[in-house]
This record gives sequence, structure tokens and C-alpha cells, in this order.
Amino acid sequence: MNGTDENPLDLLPEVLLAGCAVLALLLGCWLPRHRQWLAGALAVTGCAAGLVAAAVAAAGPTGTAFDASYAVDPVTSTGRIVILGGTLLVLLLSLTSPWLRAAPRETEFYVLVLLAAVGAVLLAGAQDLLLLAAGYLLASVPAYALAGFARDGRGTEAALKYYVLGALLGVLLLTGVTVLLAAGHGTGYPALRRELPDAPVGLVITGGLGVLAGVLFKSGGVPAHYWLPDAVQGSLAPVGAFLTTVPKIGALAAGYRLAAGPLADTGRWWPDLVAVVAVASMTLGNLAAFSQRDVRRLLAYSTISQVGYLLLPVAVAGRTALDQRALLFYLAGYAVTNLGAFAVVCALPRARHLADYRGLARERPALAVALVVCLLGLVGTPPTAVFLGKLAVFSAAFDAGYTWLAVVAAANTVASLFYYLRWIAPTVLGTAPPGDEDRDGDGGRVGNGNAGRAGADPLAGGHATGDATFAGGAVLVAYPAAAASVLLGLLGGPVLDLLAGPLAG
Amino acid sequence: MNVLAATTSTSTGEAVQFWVLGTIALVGALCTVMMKKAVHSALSLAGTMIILAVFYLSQGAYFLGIVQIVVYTGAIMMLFLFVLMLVGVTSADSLKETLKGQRWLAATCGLGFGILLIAGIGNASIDSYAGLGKANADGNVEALAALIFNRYVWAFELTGALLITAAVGAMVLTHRERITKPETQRELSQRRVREGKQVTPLPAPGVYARHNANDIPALLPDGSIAEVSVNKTLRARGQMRDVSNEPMSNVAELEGQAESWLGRVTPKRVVRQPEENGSPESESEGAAK
Repeated sequence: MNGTDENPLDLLPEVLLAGCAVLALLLGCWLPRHRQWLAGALAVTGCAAGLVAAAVAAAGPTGTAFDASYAVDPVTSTGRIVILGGTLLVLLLSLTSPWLRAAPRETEFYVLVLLAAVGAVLLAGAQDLLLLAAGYLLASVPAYALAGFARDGRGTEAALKYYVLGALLGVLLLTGVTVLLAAGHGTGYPALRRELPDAPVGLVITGGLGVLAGVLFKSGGVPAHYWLPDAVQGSLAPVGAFLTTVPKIGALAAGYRLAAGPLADTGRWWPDLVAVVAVASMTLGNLAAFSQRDVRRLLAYSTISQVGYLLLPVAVAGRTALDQRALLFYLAGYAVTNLGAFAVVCALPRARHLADYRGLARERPALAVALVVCLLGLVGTPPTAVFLGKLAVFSAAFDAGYTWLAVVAAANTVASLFYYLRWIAPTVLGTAPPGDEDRDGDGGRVGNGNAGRAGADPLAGGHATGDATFAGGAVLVAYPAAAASVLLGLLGGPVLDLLAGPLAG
Repeated sequence: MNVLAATTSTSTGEAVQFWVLGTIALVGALCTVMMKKAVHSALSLAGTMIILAVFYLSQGAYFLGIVQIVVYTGAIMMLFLFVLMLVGVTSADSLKETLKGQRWLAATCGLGFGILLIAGIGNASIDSYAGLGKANADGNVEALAALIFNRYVWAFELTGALLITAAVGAMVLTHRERITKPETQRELSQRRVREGKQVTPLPAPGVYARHNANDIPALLPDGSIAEVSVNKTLRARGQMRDVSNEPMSNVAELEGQAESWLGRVTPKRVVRQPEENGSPESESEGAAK
């Protein structure tokens, strides 16, 4: 039982995150209320240190940790980097959110975000069903509290819906784990991969279905997506950004690892099932997004449809050489683009409806450019990262013989242009009605270029009291995210090559 | 040979035990979901947990079985019961369906997954099992410790993080800061006099020498009930047991006899029914009579 791979240093990024969460909690206990941002700064430092550690680990050799229950391979490394990067952006959004800076529970917010991020990383790296279940819980429970953080009516509803569905699908996940344990005589993926092809098919399908339910809940795929629009609309904007980005990365990586590992040789039911779920997810997400007028709800439905595209490589995992690269690249591109769009939403806390964005291009041209870049990026317009990700995903589906899937996904992409344009059109073309929220406040100059200086210090970016219509600090995230979305698209070739590599175990 | 058989196949005794206890465990689980009162649900859950512990014991997992009883059934479930009793649930469940057809959809999905589970498990035929002897070779506790502190040490530590999360989350969602100074006893009594609703302490529940339970409201001199004598939670739950009808009818009968004996015919006294929310004014009025 004594493996040779029990080296805690293999898990340095995760340990840094969890340690920073505990330290930030302790720090917050002794800090006066107006200095609680220090806990947030500690959290940001932890994320940055974790990013460095993850990058170092990514350059190192592929291996496993703790008796092969945790993999350190390209999927984990990319998952770590994207999750840590996403968490870093969410933390910056929170540190610059005027509402949160005035909240009495500021430290707890950062702690919960860090803990949920640990859970998401764990989902990405788990190579054992028990660890997967632990990661599911750790990624879910802090998120429930985050969804209800504002403690208003909508927030409570969001948290309750999220929690009830999470509990139900968590039970399904545990049932699936139990059934797979019975079928495969073990919970480790290498053992399952050996045993499952010879196990009774009905048992494997039942277990796989249960585990898929858990993965779909965390990623927000269609039968398990009901919580997402309410949670994103009802909770704070930074929480919405977190919920639609970070847990999805972990869950989709976990789904891919399951598909490419233990369930790879168990028959065609898995790819067919996931393909149907993917089609349902992208189609229903798009259809529901058409009629939305609330921007957060629109973004929530847009992420549901994005999960549909992201499930394509999970469906065809192991049937083509392109699957892993396509999934990981799309995940990175999606994360950065989605966070950019949410950063713009965070920057304009009063603008909740599409009509409120009328005339943004005249009032704050830079912010409008960032928004348009991110929205066109989510559609998949050529120079952006999501375009390349979609291209890779579609070609992976073609390559694996799922032509119909690629065709449906492409048709959905074209259809999705419509609702993004419904947002872009008033932003670019419209003029602000008199007395609109976008009138020039003192935050207006911040939006026009010298943002880097204005918000480098979390205190300065806060605008904790004055202008509540424009949270200037959020542009700190919006501009880099939009730029990164384009840059990642331009550097696509070399990055895609980096993401290839065999799974561990 | 006997030992080997015991660790690789199911004996008749074990099978009988499984079917008997399995049924009870399932009934307990169903009761947990379906019982109306939270305390009954919790007790059913405790019963199911004890039976699970018996299963663990009969499978040779002695440590797990004892831990299940001591920690889960003994500590956690009892703590849960205390919390239920202390907090008191005031609002009743709303049985109104807000989602149309949700019940049928849920039933269909549940049935579907149930059929899948039964078919899947029925699909597998296992008549002998292996690995129990190997897993317990160095002793049950040692084997558990080896798993927890080697392979799953990372998951184990994260479960600790989960506990921190639970504590922080519960505090974030429920903690309320007191923003006003708490009222002193003097201020409370002054307020009572100023409002003039109930100046005296509340009456105690129960009817002398007949019913002394907490859910029985005290009777006023005219035989009607004093609602304020019963705990607010019980009143809200509708668990107040009214015993005023019998004394009320006795008084009415007595008065009727007296009237007839005196030869006077007066309209029969109207027996006052206890109102939904008896206002303190009417109670003090009744007491004044």
C-alpha cells in the first residue's frame, strides 16, 4: 500500500490555495473591517504563487501522486493554470467591487472563492472516484454560500436552487461511484480501465450515468442546468463570473478524464449519450438566450450553450488525437472571454438590462470595445481564442466520425450570433438617453486608458462610496481579459502544441 | 476452510439477516422522506443508520460499524434532534405546486433511474466475492488507516477544508449583527406598561390537576382558553390542544339549570370559540370577569 509517489510537493498549487484560504481566514479574524482587503491581497498572492507553481509543474514530467489517485499531466496542469488564472481575475473583480468592499463579510468571500477553486482543481486532477466525489463537494459547498452571499431575496433563491439541485445530483454522483466500484472492483481509474470492459454493461452504464450527472451539474450542462440562470442573475456579479467559469473547467476536465480513462473501452453508449447531452445543451441554451433581456441571465444561458460545445471533445474522447488539445484550448479561451464579459457587467453595476447599455460606445469607448471583443469572442469570431477553440472542437468531432455533431454545433454557433448582436447593437449604435447611468462621473477617465495605474492598488480601485454606477476597478480585468482573448487566438498554434501530451496513469 | 467460505460467499444466516434488516432500513429511509414532522424523520434516519452499522459489522468492518453508531447515530443524529427541538419549525410546508407537472416529471425520472439501477444490478450476478480477506489481512483498523493516510490523505485533508467551508458558509448565511442595544429588563417592563397589552407575566400552560402538558392552554375563569399561555412556536404550528370545550359546556349546563330552577327563561349563553389569534385584550377581559 505504500506507494512511492507520496510527495506533497506534487500538489504545491493546490496546497498553496488551501493554505492561503486558511491563512486568509485567520488574518481576517484579527483585521479591522476597513483593512479586510489585506485578506483579499493574500488570496491574490496565493493564486499568483499557485500559478507559478503550476507553470513549473507543467514543464516537469507527467506523473501521479498519492498512490495514483491524483494525476499530474497536461490536463491537470492546464486545468490548474486556467482555474488559478480565472480565480485571480474573479478575486480582482471582487477586490474592486464597491459593494463587497463595504460588506462586513469581505474576508469570508475571498476564503470561499479560494476553497471553491481548490475543489475545481481537484475535479480536474482526480484520478480516483472517491477523490472526484470529494472534489465535487469542495467545489459545490463554498459556491452555495457564495451564491447567497448578498443575503437578499434573489440571492437566497439562487443559493437554495443551487443547493437543492447540487444535493440531488451529488447523491446521483455517489450512487454512480458506488455502482462503478461494484462493477470495476476499485475506484482508481487505471484499475477501472482494466476491469470495466469485462464488467456487466448495465452496471457500467448505470454507474457512468450517475457520474455524468455530477459532472453535468458542475459544468451546467442541460438536464442539470436549471440552477444556473437563477444563480447567476440572483447573486453578485463577481460570483456570477466565478460560477460560470471556474467550476466548469474542473468539471469538464473531470468528464474528459473519465471518458478517456475508465469509460474509454466500454462501448459506444458514452459518446452517444454525451453527444445528445451536448446537442441539447447548446440548442436549449441558445433558444433560451434569444428572449433574455437581463444581461446576466443572457450570459448564463450563453454559458449553457458554450458547455454544449465544450462537451464535444468529452464525447469523442479517445477516438481522435485532437480531443485533448481542443478541449483544453477551448476551456482556456472560454474562461478568459467569459470573464472579460462579466468584468464589463461588474464595471456597470446599475446596468442590468440590455437597454441600459445603450450608448456605451460614446460614453466609455474603451469599455465598449472590451465588451464587443468579448461578445464577438464568445460567438467565435476569427482572431479570438474561442474561434480557434471551436475550430479545434469541430475538427475533433469530424475526425472521430461525428459529422452530424459538428454540423449541429456549427449551426448553433451561427444562431448564437443573434443574441450577442442584440447586446452589441445598442452598445455600439445607440445614444444614451438623458439621465442614463452612463453619464460621465469621476470614474470616466479611469475607463479611458490609464486604468493600470489607477487600480494597481486595490484600495485605489475601490471607489467604495462615491459613484455607484461605474465600478472603475473592474476595467482592470475587462481590458486584459479582452486582450488575452485575442492574444490567445493569435498565438493559438504554439499553445495548442503545448497542450498535447499523454494522460497520466 | 470454514473461514475461507465465510469470506468468499454469503451464508444463509447472512442472507436472512440482509433481507430482514434491508427491508427495515428501506422503510426507515422512506419514512425519513415522507414523515410530516421533522423529529419523526430524524428518528427514522437514526434507525436506518443503526441498521447500516449492523450491516458493516456483519461484513467484518467492525471499526466502521462502531464508528457509525458512535459518531453518526450517537453524536450527529442526536445533535440534530436537539437542534430540531430547540429551534422549532414555525412554518408549515406549502403544498402548493408552483411548477406545473413537476411531480409527474420527477416521478418519471426517478422511476427511470430506479429501473436502470435495478436492471444494472440485476445484470450483474456475483455468487462469490474476493478481497475481504486480503483487505483485512493486517487487521481491519490498520487497513483503513493505510488507505486514509496513504492513498486518500489528500482527500482526507480536503474533507477538513470542507468542514471549514461549512462553518464559514453557515456563518456567512445566518449570522446577523446586532445593530441596536439589547433592551434591559426595566425597559421591557416599561414598554409593557406603556403598551398596556399584557402587564403581568404570561400565564403558565396546563389546567390544574387535569392536564399539565405544555401544549394545553390554561383556562380562564369563564372556561375559555388563554392562548398566550402556550409557547408561540406550538401556536404557530397549530399544535395547541384545546381542552376548554368540556368545562365550557359544564358551565353552560350549570347556568341553564340555575336559570330553570329560578323559573327564569333567558337565552342560552353563547359559548365563545377560541379565535385564530387570541388577542391579549380579550384574554385580560376574560380574566377580569
